Amino acid sequence: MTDDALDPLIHAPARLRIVVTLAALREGDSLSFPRLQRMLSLTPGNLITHLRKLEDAGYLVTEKSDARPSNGTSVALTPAGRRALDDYTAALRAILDGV
Amino acid sequence: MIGWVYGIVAVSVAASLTAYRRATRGVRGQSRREDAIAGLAVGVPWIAVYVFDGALKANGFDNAIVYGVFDAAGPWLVVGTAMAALAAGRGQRTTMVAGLTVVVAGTVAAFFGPAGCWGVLGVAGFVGLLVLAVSQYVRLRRA
Repeated sequence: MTDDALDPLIHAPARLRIVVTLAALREGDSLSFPRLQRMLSLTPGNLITHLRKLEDAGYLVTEKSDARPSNGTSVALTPAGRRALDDYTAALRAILDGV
Repeated sequence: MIGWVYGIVAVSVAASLTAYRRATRGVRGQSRREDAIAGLAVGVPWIAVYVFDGALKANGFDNAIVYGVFDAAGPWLVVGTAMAALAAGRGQRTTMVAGLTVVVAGTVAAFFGPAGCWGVLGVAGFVGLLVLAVSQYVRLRRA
């Protein structure tokens, strides 16, 4: 197996951290944008850019909360996003096992 | 002495709630609602045990029974029952068995008298936490 098997969308360090952080949530849960930003120490602009790429790929969903405008947007991993992370982890393990 | 017991219970509950709130800040969804329900199902009976103390004292029960047997075994019985019932509703067999084990430990310990009851439950708590730690370690090693 080559490193081509590693999903380039997840392979970027910032996006990998986003996906891994969201994967720690239980299924059906979401995380507020400010909390995610604090946990990853990213600027809002940087985080939004990475979230948009992951959302375009169908790996996560964002939703605006009308009930709590102060917290604004919340982010959750989709089943496709969880599968992509599982595949990425398996591919990385396979590469490391071959070293 | 009893003031220390209530003080430790109050501090541990406050510390647990603070840690939970910090860990789940910003998290929304189904699990938060489930946690709130589970918190009520376990928390209210637990507090009721200590309130029930007052009723026992008012009815003339000896300190050794109230603080020695009931205070030691009571939380194990009600928390174990709530834990088993919640787990049964969710189809979590392992957690349900753990809850029933807690109930059995509390029941058996009550036969050992005021000092013995605390002693037996102290050892049972130690063994339970040790088993939990080892199982978590094995699970994480396999992941």
